[in-house]
Amino acid sequence: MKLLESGRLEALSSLLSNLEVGEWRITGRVESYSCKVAGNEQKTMYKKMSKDGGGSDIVALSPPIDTNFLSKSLDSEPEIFTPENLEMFVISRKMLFNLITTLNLSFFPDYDFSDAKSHEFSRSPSLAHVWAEIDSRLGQCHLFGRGIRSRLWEEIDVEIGGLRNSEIYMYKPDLISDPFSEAGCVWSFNFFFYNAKMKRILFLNCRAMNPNASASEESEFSIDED
Amino acid sequence: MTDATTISPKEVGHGEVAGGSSIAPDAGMSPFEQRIIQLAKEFPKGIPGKILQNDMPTTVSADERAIVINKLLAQGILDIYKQGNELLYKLKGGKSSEPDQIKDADNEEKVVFDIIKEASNMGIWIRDIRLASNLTLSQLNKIVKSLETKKLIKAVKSVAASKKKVYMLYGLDPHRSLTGGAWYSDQDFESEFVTILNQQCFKYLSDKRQQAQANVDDVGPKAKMAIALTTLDDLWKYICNLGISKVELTPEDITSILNTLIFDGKVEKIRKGDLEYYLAAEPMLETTGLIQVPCGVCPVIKDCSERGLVNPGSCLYMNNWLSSEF
Repeated sequence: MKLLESGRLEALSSLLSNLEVGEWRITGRVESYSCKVAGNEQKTMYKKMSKDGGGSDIVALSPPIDTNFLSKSLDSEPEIFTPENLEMFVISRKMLFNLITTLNLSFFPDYDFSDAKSHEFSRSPSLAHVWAEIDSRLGQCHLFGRGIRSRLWEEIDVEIGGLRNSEIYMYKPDLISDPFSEAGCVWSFNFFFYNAKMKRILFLNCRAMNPNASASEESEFSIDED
Repeated sequence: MTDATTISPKEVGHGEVAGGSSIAPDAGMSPFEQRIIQLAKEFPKGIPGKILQNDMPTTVSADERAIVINKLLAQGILDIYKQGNELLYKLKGGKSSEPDQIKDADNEEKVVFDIIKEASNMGIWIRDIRLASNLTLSQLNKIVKSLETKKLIKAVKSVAASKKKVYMLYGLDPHRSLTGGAWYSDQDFESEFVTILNQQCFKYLSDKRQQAQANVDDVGPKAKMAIALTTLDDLWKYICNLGISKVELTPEDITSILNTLIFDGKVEKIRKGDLEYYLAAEPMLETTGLIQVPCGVCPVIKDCSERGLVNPGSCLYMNNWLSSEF
């Protein structure tokens, strides 16, 4: 996988990264990646991940429950697992490789997500959910509504060949050692827009950082996971 | 902290002279250099810039000083450190126990190597290396790759910080807190293994207690129970002999298993003088019916009534509890 350089996306990323919500500083990135296995390191990792089963083996995601309590207005019933909507609950190992490698490339060199499990990712129920979550977070910044929001979605739409044609995935922070669990990170969101035909992933990520939090001390308490 | 590059006369400050070579002063060395070595020996933690400044004759110019200091640094005899705004000059250790390759490496690699070395078997996150060395992202990446290829450092995984890239010296074994010790097999928590150990420990203690209770000798209750008391050592030996563990277990491992049993209320820890014993616990009272009814922990109790959707008649929890009890 390779980062596809784009001046437009870089400009968008810096627009996002100049936003503020009160004291909190937003850092955002919009990056586009091609899904072809590139380089020896990736080849080795892909081989390791798809060992016996092969790339099309499926692994379980976390259920696509809408975890954002702020968007209660939408139908946030948890999806019931049926044979018809299997793809909302599982992904292939190849897709897991794509998601993990995207994170590895984006947060290189400080972080390494190679050991991330499939249940740390989930499928977003719909584009409306994504909009709702992003609006509830970034909407607190009045600059967002004035032009940045529409520009963001226009650019993403163009880059990914149509938002409606893409599958949307999310990464759940582990609250311990990933970039979204750093001291001072108030909230974050991560979305992966995947267009199978174009073999492309668009990675959209934002974090709100509280500058007052002590950066030297890692959080002493850990929150229990299920 | 470490910045082993050459310094300009401005940084040296006036009144300081650098000099000196290896521990034994050379005949061909200037008196300044010899003086520096002496000073460095007096200050094993490093000569603060000011002291160097005041010690040297004022006839020596800042430029001359800088030349001599740089010569020393290049020869690898003197090390320069920065503490806040102050510069410290430290004599480098005599016989180096560093691997040969690091001696040939350039200064920046040495700096990074030293930082990683200091982290010893706990390892250090690459971002912390960056902050400590003041190198840029790309510079540091190149250096780390080079050190890895030279087999001087290696990347390790930590169960506590599984997504961070942590490095340590090649020859070191990661500390237990990184590997998870006996409870983790390659970053995965071995919950089955822990459960089995848990059960075995409890069974051992429980059996011992039953044996003691079956004892019909007329020795009084305390003496009877004394037979059931087990030391950590006994229990550890028993578990090791069982052979259920692929890895070697230490007494500390057994202690953590026993602690989980204590917190579950299944085992007691008893102190007799200096020694500690473990004993299977027996609850003094039976739990009352009111506590056992599932309503106490029911998540929808506020909605429960005789009529309506949530009612005792159709309650799942109640049905489950009743069918399991009788």
